[in-house]
Amino acid sequence: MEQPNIEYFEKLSNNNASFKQKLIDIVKYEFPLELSDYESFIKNDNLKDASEIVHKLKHKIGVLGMTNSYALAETFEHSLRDGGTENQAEFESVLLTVKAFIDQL
Amino acid sequence: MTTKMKKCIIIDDELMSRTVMTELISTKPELHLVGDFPDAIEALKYLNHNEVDLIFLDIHLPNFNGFDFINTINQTINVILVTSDKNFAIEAFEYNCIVDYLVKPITPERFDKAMARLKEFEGNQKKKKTSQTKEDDIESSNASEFYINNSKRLIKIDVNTILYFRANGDYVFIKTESNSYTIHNTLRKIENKLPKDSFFKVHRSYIINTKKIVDIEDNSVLIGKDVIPISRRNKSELMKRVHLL
Repeated sequence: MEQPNIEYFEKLSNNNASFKQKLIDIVKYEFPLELSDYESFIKNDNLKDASEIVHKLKHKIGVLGMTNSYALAETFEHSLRDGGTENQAEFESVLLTVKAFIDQL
Repeated sequence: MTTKMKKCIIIDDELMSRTVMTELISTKPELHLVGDFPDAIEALKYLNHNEVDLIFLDIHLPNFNGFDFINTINQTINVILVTSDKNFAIEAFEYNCIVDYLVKPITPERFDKAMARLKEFEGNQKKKKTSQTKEDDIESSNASEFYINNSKRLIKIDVNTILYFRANGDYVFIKTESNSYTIHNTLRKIENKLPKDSFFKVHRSYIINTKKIVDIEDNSVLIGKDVIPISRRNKSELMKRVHLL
């Protein structure tokens, strides 16, 4: 399973530790909110709004350097937009990995 | 030579995106970030009272997508799209104001390329503007008569007989020495076709033939029997054109 990293944050912050921490704080703040929204939309079978929130989660997956998972999120986002749920299990497995990583940041 | 700083804003509902974009912008001395907005409505309110040169715009916005936003501002400001969705790239380049299309997460290298494209884009815009002005000058210099489309008839008008033009919504009223006409056109387009030595826009709704002026009083001018308002801004220019003894 592909693992997240903070290389993108390191590159952007260019040795500026406080800016790097700011980016970490933002991902720690935004990801749980988006995850919670995702779970709620899926629970209520609201696939359209679920696709919108997957769009945002996809960006978080991207900034954490998970290239393959980003592609998977994109496929899932389009599938939700078309009313389907293919790749849901794989996508949720990625979310669990990201959550575990963020929790220990 | 100093380069004018470009005022820019960010419109994106994700804090992460706005923060990354703010950082990337801060590395470019030619850019001056004047605002960032989590939704398009707030940005529109800002743009109603402030001028900006460039917008970094997310396509996926709550209640109002990026293309709706571009249509609302009539493509008057250059836009760099910033999105996690590659699928809109083709649609994006149908808009003349879109400079580049950045897919998140944006790297500093890709941002540098966008800045290079912006420079090229602005250069092309300047060239286009210059050639348009030249065309307008050529068009205006030779016109001693022109035809207007009036009730499916083309009527020839001698430019020297025209007293004034008055804008009226999507129409323009033309008063000549012997007639009057209403045509579907804009004052701006007409202004470009008139000889500049004898026609002058005295007010946002009026172009007058300065050779037909009877008298000038305060903020109005008498042309034939009609009193035409002069805007304060244009009065001094008009006074320069009349030969005051």
